[in-house]
Amino acid sequence: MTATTTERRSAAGRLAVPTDVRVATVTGRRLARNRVATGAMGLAFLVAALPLLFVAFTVVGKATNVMGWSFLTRDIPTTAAATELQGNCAAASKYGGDTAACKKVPAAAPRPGIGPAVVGTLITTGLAALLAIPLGILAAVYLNEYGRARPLARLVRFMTDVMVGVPSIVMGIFVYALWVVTMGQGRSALAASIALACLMLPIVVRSSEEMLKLVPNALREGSAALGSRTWKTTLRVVLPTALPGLVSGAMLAVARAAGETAPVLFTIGAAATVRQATTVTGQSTTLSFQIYNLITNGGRLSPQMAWGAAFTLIVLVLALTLIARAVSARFMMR
Amino acid sequence: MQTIADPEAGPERSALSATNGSVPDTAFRVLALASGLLVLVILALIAITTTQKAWPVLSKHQLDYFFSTDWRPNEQHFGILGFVWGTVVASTIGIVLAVPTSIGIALFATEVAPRRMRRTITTVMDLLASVPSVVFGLVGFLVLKPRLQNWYQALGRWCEGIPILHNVFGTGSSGTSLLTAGIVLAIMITPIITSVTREVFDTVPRNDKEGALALGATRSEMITGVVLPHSSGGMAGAVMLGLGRAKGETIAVTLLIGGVSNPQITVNILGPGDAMPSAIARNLQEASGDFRAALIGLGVTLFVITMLINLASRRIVGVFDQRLKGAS
Repeated sequence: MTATTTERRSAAGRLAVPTDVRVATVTGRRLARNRVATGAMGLAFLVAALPLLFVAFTVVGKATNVMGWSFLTRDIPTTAAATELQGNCAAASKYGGDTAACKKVPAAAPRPGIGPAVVGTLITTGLAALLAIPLGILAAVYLNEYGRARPLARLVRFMTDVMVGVPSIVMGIFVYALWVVTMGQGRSALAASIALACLMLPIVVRSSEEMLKLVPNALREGSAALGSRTWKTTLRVVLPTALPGLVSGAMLAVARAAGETAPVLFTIGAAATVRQATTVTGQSTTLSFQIYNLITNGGRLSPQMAWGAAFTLIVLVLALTLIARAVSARFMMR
Repeated sequence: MQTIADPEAGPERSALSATNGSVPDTAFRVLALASGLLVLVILALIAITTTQKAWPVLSKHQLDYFFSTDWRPNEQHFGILGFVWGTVVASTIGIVLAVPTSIGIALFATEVAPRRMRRTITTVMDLLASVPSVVFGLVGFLVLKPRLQNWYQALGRWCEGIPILHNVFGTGSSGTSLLTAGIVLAIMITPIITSVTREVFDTVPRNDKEGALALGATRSEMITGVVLPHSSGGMAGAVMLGLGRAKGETIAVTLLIGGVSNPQITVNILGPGDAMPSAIARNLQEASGDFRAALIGLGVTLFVITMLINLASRRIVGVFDQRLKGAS
């Protein structure tokens, strides 16, 4: 404690001890060590904030000249196969997409667009949310309202923890091996959303169970005293009470899924037009997948498009994260 | 519905579950139970399908698959040790950089920063955690790679001739390397480790902290004497959590680790390597036959490592907690 007079007095006042108590002043090596330690802690925060600022400024700076409504809605240019964007055609043939468009001679210089990726991201993530969120909340209901400390519930809880740690690419391989290879279903938006749902499910279960735990038992007892059975108590009392928390947990899971690339890699195929990307059972593309594609199979326009796509993705993910935080902050205040 | 004797449930809970014979209640219970079991089913399916698809190669190479560094898809020889090495080195670099930083931030947030600043710190960490992996990859690949190449080459030249250092920091780096992958991993796992260690630090009893201060300890002495010993179990858990995330991180690492077709065990962290998830991401698209099986085998290995890390972290946290109980 660096004992300046004011500090000493205020601390002493808080603790309600006589103000004339002498506080030994800390000097020399101990003082120096304390200062260095405090400085190092602050520095650690700055070091961690640096990459965030760097990424934000870089992406915003690079994306401004390409962003716009038409960029977000236009098809990904594949017509200019040979000269402008070999990348996308290479990708199309590699992932079994539509290569016919690549053979046409370009009529005009291609204009960048990532419409299909925007549509594909919304469809696959939305579908994954529809699959994972209800099942995840139901599983949490089982854990908190029925299973509690029973061995089976404990096993499910432990396995949920394990599943949170399963790398996202393993989810991709799993759906690829089961859905595409074994069942011969072909790559599609649906396959990708199943992989994303596998990723989201344990996250939703965990956050939902935490939220259900916060619901006071008195509410359940009150409902039971009025003659409601468990299912009615859960649906009418417990879930509505926990709703904001459930929503915020689910949104964080959705944000995580929207930014993931690895599960989508082998399951989504390729799509270059918005029309292709609007189907559920057909091949599609997502923003994250498109960014990876543009970097690895790059053509002349690719970096520009990748920055635009990255900007769009970040805005989408940040919006979800911030809304989730706002919702949960309101929940915690109640 | 049967009322099963439940030791944890108080009288009020058993009263709640005394709803024999209600159809909607049974249906709802079964539905919830089925959703809970879904987690087990999916994990079992992951284990079975991936192992089954990888089996041709696993049974042919047996232990050689795990302990050979010979990865030659064209000659049908698959040994994954080089990829395991890349994952281990990059994850270790990530952990070594991220753990002190995260503990520093968590201490700063719990012990030093004024209340208003704590929210800022949480926000910054949440935002950092929400940046998609591929965006880190993009920024690293297009913007940082050329600069890193210059720095790495300068570092390599500077270390030339110095015994151990010139092995660790070799010359001729292209900017994408094991070190670059390790740094990006550190950035990605810092928010996770920070948030867990913060929660752990928050559980340190106030009395213990004030007791140390009352005895005349400085803040740093209070932290090393009270906060850190009290939190050792939780911090170990946080590190395992970070490790679990680092080993499976795919896209950013794929773009920044360099990517060589047959990685060897090397200590040159400025040179290119390859990690298990990256090898899968790069090759599974076009692979078929035994090559595909070998790549799926990498996924199986990652899955097994996940299980091991989870079990190990339970043990470690348990041991630390036990020791703490013994001490008090």
